[in-house]
Amino acid sequence: MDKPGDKSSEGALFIGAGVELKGDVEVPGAASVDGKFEGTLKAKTLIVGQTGHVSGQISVETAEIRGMVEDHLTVRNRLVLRSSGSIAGTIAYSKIMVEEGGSISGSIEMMARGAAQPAEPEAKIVQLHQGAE
Amino acid sequence: MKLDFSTLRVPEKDEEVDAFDWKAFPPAIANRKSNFFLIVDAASAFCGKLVTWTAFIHGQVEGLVFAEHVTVEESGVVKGLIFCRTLTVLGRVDADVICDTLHVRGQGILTGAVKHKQVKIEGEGLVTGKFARRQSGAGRAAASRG
Repeated sequence: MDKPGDKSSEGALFIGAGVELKGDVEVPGAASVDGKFEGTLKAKTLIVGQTGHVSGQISVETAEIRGMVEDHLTVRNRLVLRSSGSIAGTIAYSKIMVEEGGSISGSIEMMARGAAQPAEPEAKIVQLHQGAE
Repeated sequence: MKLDFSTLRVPEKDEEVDAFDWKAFPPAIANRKSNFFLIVDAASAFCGKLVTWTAFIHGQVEGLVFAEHVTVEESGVVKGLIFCRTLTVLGRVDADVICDTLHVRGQGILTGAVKHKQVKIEGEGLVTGKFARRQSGAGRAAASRG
């Protein structure tokens, strides 16, 4: 993942610990949050540090969460929830990885692949005995 | 050995789930003397209530799975309700789940309402539905105060 300070992370946003930001933000690169963000955030990558707290409408390509994210989180590609991380609210993702200890609660949806792909045709369980009605 | 399942029922309220004593779970008592486990093989389907200590499900189960440890293997499919301490999903679960620890592995797919204490998702695991983290009694009290 991009890190702030990398040459590849032009157009990045870094919210340091102790900093609070409210509003609508669009970030072409990575948004790294160690402080507090509240509002609407669109970014390529979201990185929430252990002290970070993000709430509102969040839409990103990839996310790595070590802190807390609340409300609506949409991750079009890969969502990684680390052991210290917590997500609560409505979550949409394409791929997910949750480390042991990571807290996840709320409504979880999968985007695009998977949900609508039953692995195999299912054999039906038939009842051998049905009571006469 | 005769086990008494007559009073066994799935806890409904959070306090009852917390208070459920897996050490007093009849199959767990039986298991202290021998290692019992159940395998639903890939060529088998089961419909109804399944009560056991440890279940490895390769086939299909529809109904209630009530066990301390449940593994839904790659070819396994479970529909209905799973009440357990640990649930490992490598196959497909389309069920409501109450557990302590949920582990979705490999190509595991889980859809349903899940109440858990700990969750781990890895590989190509997929989950959809409503997830709620179970709190201890003290945690619930604090949450209700806050």
